[in-house]
This record gives sequence, structure tokens and C-alpha cells, in this order.
Amino acid sequence: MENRNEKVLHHAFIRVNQKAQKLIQEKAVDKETMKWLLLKELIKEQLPNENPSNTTR
Amino acid sequence: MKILVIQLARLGDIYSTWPSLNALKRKFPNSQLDVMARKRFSNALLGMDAVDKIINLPTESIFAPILDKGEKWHRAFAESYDVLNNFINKHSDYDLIINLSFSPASSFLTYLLSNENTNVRGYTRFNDGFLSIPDDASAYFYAQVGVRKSNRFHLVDLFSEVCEVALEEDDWKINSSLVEKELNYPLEENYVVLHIGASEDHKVLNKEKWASILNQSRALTDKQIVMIGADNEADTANDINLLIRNKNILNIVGQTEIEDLFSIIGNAESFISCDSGPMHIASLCSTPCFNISSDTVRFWETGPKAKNSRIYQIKDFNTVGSDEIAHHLDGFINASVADEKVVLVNSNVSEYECLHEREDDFQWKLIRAIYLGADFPVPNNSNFIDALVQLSELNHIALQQLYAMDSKLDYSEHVNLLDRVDELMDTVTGVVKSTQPLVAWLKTEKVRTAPGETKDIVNSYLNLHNLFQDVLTIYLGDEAKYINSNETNLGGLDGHK
Repeated sequence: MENRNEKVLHHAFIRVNQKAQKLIQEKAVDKETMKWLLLKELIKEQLPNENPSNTTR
Repeated sequence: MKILVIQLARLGDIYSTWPSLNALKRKFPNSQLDVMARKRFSNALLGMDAVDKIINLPTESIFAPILDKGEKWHRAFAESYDVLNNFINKHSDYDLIINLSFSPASSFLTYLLSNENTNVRGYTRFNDGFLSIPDDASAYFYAQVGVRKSNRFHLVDLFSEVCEVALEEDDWKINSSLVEKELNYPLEENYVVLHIGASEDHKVLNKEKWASILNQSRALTDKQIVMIGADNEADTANDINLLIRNKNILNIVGQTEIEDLFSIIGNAESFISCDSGPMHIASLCSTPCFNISSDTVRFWETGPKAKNSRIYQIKDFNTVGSDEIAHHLDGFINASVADEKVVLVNSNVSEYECLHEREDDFQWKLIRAIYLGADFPVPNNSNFIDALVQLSELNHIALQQLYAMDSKLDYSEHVNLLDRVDELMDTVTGVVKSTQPLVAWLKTEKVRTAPGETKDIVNSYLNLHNLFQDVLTIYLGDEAKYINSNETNLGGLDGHK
């Protein structure tokens, strides 16, 4: 189950990132784009080797 | 006034936020003080009286559509987006948002939760989506805090700086009912609490090493040892229990609620652990801690704060002898004169006392010079000066490009060169690590430059690169100064000359 979730989240990360990048190319960055970027970062934190710590430290 | 503190990190960081939360409530007694945390860690806010409301970031609800719907991506994303959107809309009426998380996700969240009237501290985003670091304390964090950096300010103190509060002794006080809570464990009058685990494997000793340390410690021979920990640490605790000779063990690993730890640790004589969340409970309870710290952790930032605690940092858990660790542990338990390898904690408001030279002493002095106005330290090897010469040459190129960026010209070529200068400065810093604080300061301040007219950005960068050159000149002498021979090309820029 854990492996399946990891795979799903990995695919989700790629697709949400694509969605956000597409929005950035189509228009100036707005709140909608920021929300997709937030979703992308939240998914990224769930991936292996990432953690919800203070990641820029 | 409504204040939101965003703390999306784990247990240790949440407990390290407690003194700042008390101080914020003291500073703004009539405010509503809410804290946003991840659901799986928000138990670490139970018993925190200064907080009016705990808001759980609903990550499970956000991810549920994605995990449930599998390949039906479009619909799943739309549902996840809606959950996130509703959550943001519900919590976007704060006057002050303080983001203590320092992560990309938290910066987007902070931006989206704030409105035109919100005062923001901590990482957020500019309107164009780039990282925005509005306050100096967070900029310091961005530049100097973390593994492979040389910061020695504790997270507790950095959090208070971001919150713009000065901590007092009373801010460490916790509700006495937490410590006085009656628990049905057969605890003796004097006992020692041991936590064998931590959030990540690289922070913990293996079970054989723990057992060997406990067997070799003379001071623990007759003491009751209370083993605490999470469910997933129970098997390890059982194995250690079988290996140690002291049979006065109370193994309650996996049996406690997190808020019970205040009573167990708060009434203990002392606490022993690697770098773990409960160590921060010991700090809040003023229970002295013997912290066996991994080299992969910056104990300066996350170590114990209770008076009379000691930190023993080990480069490699596998090679250091358990007899040596037991020796320092006994010194802590008996309060005997500490070996110089051990770092001492004299109070929760003072810096650690480190009696031995450390590799990054010079970098720390450099940080103090840059940020606190202390004297710039004398370098102890020629590599530093050689590296500064290279940085100075690179900085001259950067200044040359910036002065030449006339608005009438296509400046893409200049921008490419500036990017290249940044890369090469990183390379120099990678080779001569003692220069890292200086370059990190420059790069961070450039990140802080707000989006705007090219002319304004160029002016901001000019100021920063000139300031950088001023510091290099302290070490390299006046011949390192930049003389602008390109003044006629300034194009209205009000740069340094």
C-alpha cells in the first residue's frame, strides 16, 4: 500500500507541476497558479527523501 | 487582533516554538493567537495555554482524492484543489501571520492566507511567485541556518526573532498541571528517563550500543531507568531491555500519550536521548538532558536548553566506544567537572559553552561580524585570503555588468554573466568553506530584492555587490576596491561610485 501511494504521489507531483508550469506560461502568476504550486509542494513533501521539516535548512 | 503562527515542522520544532508563543501572548494579551500545524504533529500543542486555536493543515483530506482516484487525475486534482481552496478561504482573515516553517510549501501557504492588510513575517511569496523574505531574522535563517552551515543561534531564539519578541525566563514556564498529571506508573522518587529513538535513523544509536553504554555506566547502576518512545520503537526497547544488566527498568515505550511525557520527564532527575522530540519537552520542563548528538545534526540549533544539560557530539556513531559515551554520561549524572569534549548548557537563555576548538569557529566569528557588528576575525590560513581574491575578481565582473546595464541596451548578456558570477562564487565557496557565510549573505539579500523596474533591481544589486566589496576590502586592502570606469553608461542609475 505504501509503495502504491508513493507511486501515485510521484505521478501526481509530475502532473501537478506540469499544470502549474502551463498556467505560468499562459498568464501572469496569480492566486490560482500559487494554489497549484502549493499543492505541488505539499505533494513533494510526501515523497521519499523529503520530509515536512524546515526543508531549506 | 488575530495572529496566526504557521509551524508545519515536526515535534521538536513545535516544542521549540512554545516560548515564542508565550511571549507573543504576553506582548499581545488581547489577541487571538492561533497555530497551524500538521495533524500528525499537532498533539505537540496540547497543554500550550497561550494558543487559542489549533488549526490542522488537512493534508489527508487534500491527498485523499489523489490516492483514492488513482489514474483519474483530472477529477482527483480538481477535488484536491477544492479542499485546499476551501481551507485557504476559511483562514484568510489574520492581521499578523508569522511563518516559522521555512519551507517552500509554507511560503506559498503564507502568501495565500494573507490579504492586503496582513502583516507577514517569515517566508512568503512575491506577487510574481518568487520567494519573499520580508524580515531580517528569516533572511538570516535562509542564509546561515542548517546542516553544513555555521549558525550557532538556537532555533528557539531564531523563532523568537522572527516573532519579534524578546524571550524572558517566564516564557519557558508551562502549565503546572502538565507536570503534575497523575499517571499509574510505578515511578520511584529518583529516576532517569531514556528515549532511545528519534525521527530519523541517522540520529540514533543502535540497540547494541545503547545496551553497552547502559551496562558500562556506573552512575546508572542503581537508578530506575524509565524507557519511553513511540509504538515503532517498542521492539528495539524490548531488545535493549534484554541486553542490560540493570533490572530496575520501567519500559513504557509505545504506551504513553505525548502529553503524558511532561509528567514523566518533568518529574525525572534527568533525561537521556539522541536528538529527539521529547528532548525539547525536557527543555520546557527544565529537566537536565544528556544529549548524544549525531554529527549530521546541528546541536547548536536544536540541542537541549535546560540548565545543567550536556551535549556530547559524535562524528560517527559506529566508531566511538560505548565506554567513552558512558564516561561522559556518568560525568553528567554525577555533575562532575565536564571533559572539554562535552558542550555545557548553563541556562535556557545563554549560548552553549563549548570548551574545545571546532572546525567552524572561524565561520561563526565571521557570521557574528556580518550580522552583529563584531570584529571581523583574523583568518588562520591563506586559503581564505586566496578565495577572497577570487571572489573579489568575480565581484568586480558583477559590478562592471551592473554599471553597464543601461536601460537602452539589451541587458540579457549582462544577466547571463551575472548568473555565471553567482555560479562561480558558489564554486569558490564549495572549495573554501570558510567563505560560505559571506557569499550566503550576498545571495540571500539578492533573493530579497522585490520584483520591479529593471533600474530599481539593478540599483539594489549594485548596493549589495558594493557592500560585499567593502567587506572583501577589509581583508584585501584598498587595492581590492572597485573603481567604476563606466560612469558614462549609468543611464540614470544611482549606483555606488
